Amino acid sequence: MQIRKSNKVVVNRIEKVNSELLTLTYGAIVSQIIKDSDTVIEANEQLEKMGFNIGQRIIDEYLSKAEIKQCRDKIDVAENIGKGAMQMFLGVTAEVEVLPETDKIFTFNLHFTENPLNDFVELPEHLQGLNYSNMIAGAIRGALSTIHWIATCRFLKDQLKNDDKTILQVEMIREKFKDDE
Amino acid sequence: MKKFQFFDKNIRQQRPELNFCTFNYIFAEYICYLKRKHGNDYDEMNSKMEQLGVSVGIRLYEVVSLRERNKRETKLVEQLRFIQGIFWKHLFGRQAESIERLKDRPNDYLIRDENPLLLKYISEEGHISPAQFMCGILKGVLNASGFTCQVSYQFKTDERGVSYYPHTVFILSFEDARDL
Repeated sequence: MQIRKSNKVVVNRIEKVNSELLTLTYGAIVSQIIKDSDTVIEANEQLEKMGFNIGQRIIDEYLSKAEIKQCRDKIDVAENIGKGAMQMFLGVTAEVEVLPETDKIFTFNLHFTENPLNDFVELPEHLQGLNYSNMIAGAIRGALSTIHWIATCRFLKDQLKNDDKTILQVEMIREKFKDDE
Repeated sequence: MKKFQFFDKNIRQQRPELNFCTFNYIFAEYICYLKRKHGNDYDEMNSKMEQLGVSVGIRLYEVVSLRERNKRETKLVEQLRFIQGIFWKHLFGRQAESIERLKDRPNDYLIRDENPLLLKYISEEGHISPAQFMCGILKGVLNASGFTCQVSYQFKTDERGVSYYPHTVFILSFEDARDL
C-alpha cells in the first residue's frame, strides 16, 4: 500500500507520451525482429536480450525517481517490481503472488489483467510460440541483475494466446561473490 | 472458438498516456539493435528505421482519423493541415509550427517543427537520427491516404552554418503533380 501511494505522486509528475505511439512502435519493432530472425525461438531470445539491456538502465531511473525506501526483504522487491515499476513505466499494476521458497530460489508470479503493449495485437497461427511481451521479462531480468540477483522470467499464461490473464513467473537467486561463505 | 480481445475495446476511448522514458528506452534499444545487426551500414539502418515509421504511420492514421471522426480528405492541402494540426497534436501533444511551400520547388511542401518531441534526449551527432523515423510516419500517413510522396528531413541552420538543432524541417516531395 505504501508503494502505491507515494508512487502515484511520482507518476503524475513524469513526462508522458501518447500510448499508441509507444504501442505501435513496439509492435513494429517486434515485427521487424521476426522478419530478421529465422525462427520464433530466435525472435524470443532477441526480444529478451533487448529487454535485458533496457532493464540494466531502467532500474537507475526507477530508483532515482520513485522515492522509495530500501527494500527490507525479497517480498518487498517483488512488490516494487509489480506495483511500483510497472505503474511507473507501463501504467498498469500487476498482482504479486509469492510462491513458497525452495532451495534459496525465491519465486513469485505477476498477474497482469491488462498490458498496454498488447493493444491492437493479434498473433497469427504460425507465431503462436512467440512471447510478444518478452521485452518485459528481459527488462525484469536485467534490472535484477544490476542489483546482483540472477533471475529467470517466463510467461506461464498470455492474454494473446486466449488466456484470461497474463502471468509472468520470476525466479530469482542471489548472485554468489568470491568472499561469500 | 477463437476470440480476439481487441474487438471488444472501444476505439474512441484512449488509454491514458504512458511514461515518455519507456518509449525512449525501447527506441534507443532498437537503434542499438540496428547497430549490432548492420554495423556501419548507415543507409541500411536509415531505411530500416523509415520502414518502421511507415508501418507505425499507416496504423496511427487509421486510429486517429477514426477517433477524431475525420472525413477522408481528398485535397492535399486539407490533408496536410490535418497532419500539422490534429495528427501532430494527438501524437506529440502540440501542433507543428507551420506548413510552407517553396516558390522554386512547386512539388515540395515543408512541415516545420521547432522542437520535435522524439529528438529531445538525442544529440545531433551521428549518421542516424529518429527524425528519419518521423519521416517514415509522415510517409506512412500520406501513402495510406493516397498521396504518394518521399519524405526527408533537414535541421535548420543559419547562413554561417550554425545549427538550430533540434529545429527540424520535414520535406515532402510529391512526384505526381496532379495531387497538388
